[in-house]
Amino acid sequence: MVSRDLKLEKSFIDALRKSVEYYPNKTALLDSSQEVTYQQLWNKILKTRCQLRKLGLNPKDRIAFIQSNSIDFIIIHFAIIANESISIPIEIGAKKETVEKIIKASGAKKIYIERKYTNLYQSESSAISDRASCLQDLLKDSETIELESADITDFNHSSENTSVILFTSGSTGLPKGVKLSQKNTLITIRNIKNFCSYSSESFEVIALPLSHSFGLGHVYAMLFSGGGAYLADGLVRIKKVLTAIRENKATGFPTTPAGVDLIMNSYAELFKQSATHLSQMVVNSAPLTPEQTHKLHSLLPNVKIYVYYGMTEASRTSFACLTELGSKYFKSVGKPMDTLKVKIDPKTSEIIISGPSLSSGYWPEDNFPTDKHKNPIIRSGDKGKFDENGYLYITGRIKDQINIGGYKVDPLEIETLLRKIEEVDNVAIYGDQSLNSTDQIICFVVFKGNKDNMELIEDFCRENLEHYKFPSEIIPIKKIPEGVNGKIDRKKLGEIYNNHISENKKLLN
Amino acid sequence: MSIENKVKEAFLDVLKVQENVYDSELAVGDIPEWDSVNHVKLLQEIEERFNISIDVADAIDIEDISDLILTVKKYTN
Repeated sequence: MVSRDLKLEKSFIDALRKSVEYYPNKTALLDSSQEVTYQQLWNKILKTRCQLRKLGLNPKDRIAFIQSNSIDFIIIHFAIIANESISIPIEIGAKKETVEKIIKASGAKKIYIERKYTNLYQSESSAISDRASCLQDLLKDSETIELESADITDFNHSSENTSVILFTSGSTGLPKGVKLSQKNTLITIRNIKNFCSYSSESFEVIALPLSHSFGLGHVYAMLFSGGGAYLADGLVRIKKVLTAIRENKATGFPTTPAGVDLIMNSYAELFKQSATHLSQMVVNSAPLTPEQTHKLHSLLPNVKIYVYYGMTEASRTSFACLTELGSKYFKSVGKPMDTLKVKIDPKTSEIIISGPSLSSGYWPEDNFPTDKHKNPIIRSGDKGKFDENGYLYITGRIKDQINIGGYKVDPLEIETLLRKIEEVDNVAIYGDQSLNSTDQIICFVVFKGNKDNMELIEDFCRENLEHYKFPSEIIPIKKIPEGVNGKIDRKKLGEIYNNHISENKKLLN
Repeated sequence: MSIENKVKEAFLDVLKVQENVYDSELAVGDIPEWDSVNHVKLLQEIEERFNISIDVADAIDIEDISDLILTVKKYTN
């Protein structure tokens, strides 16, 4: 086992190259259709990078792609970065309109789309059609390239520059692109690697979307440690996931609280039988409740359960190994990483984070304020507190953001969209947090002339919203409650919703 | 109503997709709406509508519409 320190590595390419040098013939990645060693992965990345250059894609060009979890995802992502271009992974299921907005906002020169989704994004809109190509065609063409020595050594990276833009839901319906440099990410990965003791013997089954920082971070951690990973396309093909865990003797399985619920409620015994070599699970995207932690720990008593607090902009801010700390700390998200400063605003209780692993801001120039060391300062939008031993606890939210199994949704985005419906007089979105694993979107609608038409809202949502933004419930209402400043009174909406639930329960009884 | 139509109805109700999306060759993950959470909801809905209880070992083998129909047939025969 070789454990490497990442602090000397200047870029993703350097970090990956070291793994290639140490373990050229070791399996780096597997997916449902292929398997690659470090050397094979490296060659594919370099060839694809050459092909991108051949096609006129240059340093600093933004290149977007839509590709489900797979080795192809990692090849194109690293090839773009090796080309010193900027990689923009777009989540599977993004609506055509969202993709157009991302292309416009980022100025992407090219978008590569996985073959099975190319029809979905066929568009008369020039934003997509002028720039779109099939990713698998690019990778196939790259295979014919003969690498020359210059292609292998010719890297001149500045790790401070933006290398990746991850788009998140914005409040006005316009997606926001979080700028991430390789330096940000390498510091974070070093922290993760040290905290979770990743090494060349680690192997993770990663079913989290790679277009998000949680999933992508785990792939980086594995590749930069010389470990291996099976890339699963979500948990929906659960048999493949369980088989991958068992056959590859997986040591780690990162997931979300929704994933924990799914496993515990539907496949607990099968999961236990497959997880014979599992030593740790990192759970994030939403808080893991003490009940979920207890259940998971009872099922797999020898597996360490880690949680962390983070956001795309601030990556991993704090880490906790709950099973080591004991049940007293099951509500904690741990202690802040050494490289970060975390403070609580005394007036609002908002968590404020600063440090070198933070994003500099949103694309192109909407930057966060900086401290005297020029490190970004981010107001998280979450409320928190520290206990006497320095452990951080999340106590609430300042922003109205709704967390759907890790997907962040701004109520304003849905409200703005639904107000465009002619028959709708007003609309308000409420994020119900009564479930363990995920929030629920509750949509209150005032129809013009009191002519309720839920189907109309459902059809409109289906047409215009990503599936995770689809309301769990649509409730007609006479008037949207407002505060003194004329803004939607979301606390009152919560009370109305709770009354609605109680009324329904009474009816059922 | 035939098993095929009843499965289709449950599918459209749970996944909240338009009818033209439904295809007898559709597989899990082919559309974003058919994710792991909706997959479990769909199986529960199928169990309820057909008054059956699908064994976990069979449930994890269901990866497309035809698997779903075959499983229902197995449990209702």
